Amino acid sequence: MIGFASEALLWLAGAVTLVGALGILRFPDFYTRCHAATMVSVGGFTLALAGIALQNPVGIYLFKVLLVAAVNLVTNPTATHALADSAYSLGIRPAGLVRNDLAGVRVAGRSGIHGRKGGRSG
Amino acid sequence: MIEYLFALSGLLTLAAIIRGPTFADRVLASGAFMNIAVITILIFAVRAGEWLCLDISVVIIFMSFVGTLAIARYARRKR
Repeated sequence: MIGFASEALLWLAGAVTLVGALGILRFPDFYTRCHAATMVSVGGFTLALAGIALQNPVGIYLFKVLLVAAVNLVTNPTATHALADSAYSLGIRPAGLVRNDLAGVRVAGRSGIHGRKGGRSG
Repeated sequence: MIEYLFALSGLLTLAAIIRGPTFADRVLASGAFMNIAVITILIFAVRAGEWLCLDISVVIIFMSFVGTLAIARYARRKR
């Protein structure tokens, strides 16, 4: 029973990963591709780790699998957020943009969106 | 059998790395490829009983994060 649940979770993870990879390849601009890549790296990855954790749920192995899941859930959205911030600061805009609420906002100083106004941002 | 599904996803992600018009698309696709590689390593760890691979996957996840963050911080426009 546990083996069947594990295989089902792994197949579900494979399906989500495949759909996400197709989305990275097919979506029109960078920000929608961020959505697809997050589907791979959070949805598919966490489902696959749940399936792997069910294969041998004892002690140190379960702890290590949960550690990998927690580390990935913290670091991967952070990296995608930093990448999207960097892409916006380089002038990459969504396809079909009709109104930009960030048009007059100063972004991407040396200390980020919420950083200091002055300082050494030259 | 399920390994082929992840292999196909990895190939699609490699195609996205080659095709991506801007650098940000390439970095995003390489992060996704790193995740698919870690999933494949973990499935191998389960199938073959090589539980040492769990430690390797922790290291790979951290390296992927540090690499993506370094490229993102390096490539942003300086004012």
